[in-house]
Amino acid sequence: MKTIVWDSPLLLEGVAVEIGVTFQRGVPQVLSDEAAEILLRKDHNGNQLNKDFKEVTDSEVQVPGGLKFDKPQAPPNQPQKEGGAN
Amino acid sequence: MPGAATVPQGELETYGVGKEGSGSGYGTFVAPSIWHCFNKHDPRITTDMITRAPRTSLADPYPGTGGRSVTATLDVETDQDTFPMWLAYALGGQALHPLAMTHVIVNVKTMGMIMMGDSQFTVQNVGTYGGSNAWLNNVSPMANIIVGMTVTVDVGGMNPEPVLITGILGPNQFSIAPATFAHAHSGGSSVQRTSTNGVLNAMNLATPLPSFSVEVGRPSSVNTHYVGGAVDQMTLSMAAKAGLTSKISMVFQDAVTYGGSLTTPVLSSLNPYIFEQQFTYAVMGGEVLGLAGGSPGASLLNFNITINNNLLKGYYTFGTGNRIRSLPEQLRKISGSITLGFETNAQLTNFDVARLGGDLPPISLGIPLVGTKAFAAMDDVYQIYLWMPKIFLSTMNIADDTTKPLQQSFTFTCAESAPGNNDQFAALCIIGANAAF
Repeated sequence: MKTIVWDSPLLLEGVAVEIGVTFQRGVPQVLSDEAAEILLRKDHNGNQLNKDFKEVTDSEVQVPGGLKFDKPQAPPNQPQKEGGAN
Repeated sequence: MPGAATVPQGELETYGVGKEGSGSGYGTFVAPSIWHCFNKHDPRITTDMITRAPRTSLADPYPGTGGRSVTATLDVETDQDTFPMWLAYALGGQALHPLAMTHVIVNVKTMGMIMMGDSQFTVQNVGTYGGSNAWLNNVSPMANIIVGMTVTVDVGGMNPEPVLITGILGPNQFSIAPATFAHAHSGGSSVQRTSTNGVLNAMNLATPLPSFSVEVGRPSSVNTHYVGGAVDQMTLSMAAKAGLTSKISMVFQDAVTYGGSLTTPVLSSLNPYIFEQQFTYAVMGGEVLGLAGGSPGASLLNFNITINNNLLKGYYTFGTGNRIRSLPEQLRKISGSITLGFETNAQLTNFDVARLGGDLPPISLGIPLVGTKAFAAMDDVYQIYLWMPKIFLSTMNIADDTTKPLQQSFTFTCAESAPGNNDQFAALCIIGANAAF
């Protein structure tokens, strides 16, 4: 399991369509290793393609009094496909 | 067996856009940072034929290879959070309002006293506000206050009172939630927008236009990178039973087949701006269009606006091969049409005013588009205010159709508010904080 944060500078919410998970900016999601690997995939030079996705450690999520990100809100690795709803 | 022979499906395509660096960054691919949902994408690559002279034959010799041009049209969904990018790219500029950092951006003041228990208030334009927000100075307060916006009345005064704008009752006259004011406020009290989750940006005319790269993902087919792109033309249309529609014509420097991994796409989950979801009014020539109640204006039935950047295509220069060197920008033209009901003949009067000679006075046109997605509970929603400070009504057409209500249609051309202001069109957008497209 990996904790992934989507830190888009442009949008507040987005659906990572390949894994069917909706992200809120700055809100960590706990995902399976396979799903996280899709979000963090790299090009042939080893550079991560979508730099908005970041893996964060538990310590980064849960630093007392100085949270960099909110605590995970979604249950582990539950696909959250949305049908364009607001 | 179904699926045994894979057929590349358009439904599975992704369309990501990355903003290229200025100057020498033109034409250098930048990975997408925003993805757009679209109905139709029509890229086209053309190679000019250099005709050769006959070779003792009546048949054409095989031509020489000339310039290569890459264009595309995109019928894009106008999702509330992603579509402002296209406005920024088509118009060329995105400017945070000078006062937006502190979210003090409604450049209006209350006109007359508000009594405790009043259910509405009116505002007037201040004219200047710190001297720095010039492009808003001459805008009607209705361009600054939109239904769905949270504001504080009498901010900095004795009893600042936050309210939600719930309706437009007349020119510059608004209803609120809670239903009535709890305090009295003196004339001249400031009214300021209070949301901190969304910021107000002006997408305005600026040059040079930003250039961008596009990564089109076509599963089971040919992924392509389009580089050195710019928006040549954009249309904005809205009518009943549909969302805001936009078709964008683009020109690119090149298209390159891409065999690597696609950047992980993230798509918007929001709706586009929808005609029937609008709870606010457009303003044309001093008339609040479709205003229900005491002084109804002619109903707005549809509109169409075309932004034509008039890019010089085919600018091949010696030494740069068969790709264009760049896309020189030329005189822009912004025009449109609007169809109204005939509840009033105010706009026909505007059109007719120069009937016996003289100059046709310019009128303004403001069309607010209010989204349904709030940034937080009881907070602002995504908004776009299409603002045209001076339009010239060039034709007027009455549809005498015996099967439906009378309609009046106008075509218009937009002009800058004063010579050199370069402001014939602006899109005032409330978008997520820090969204710099």
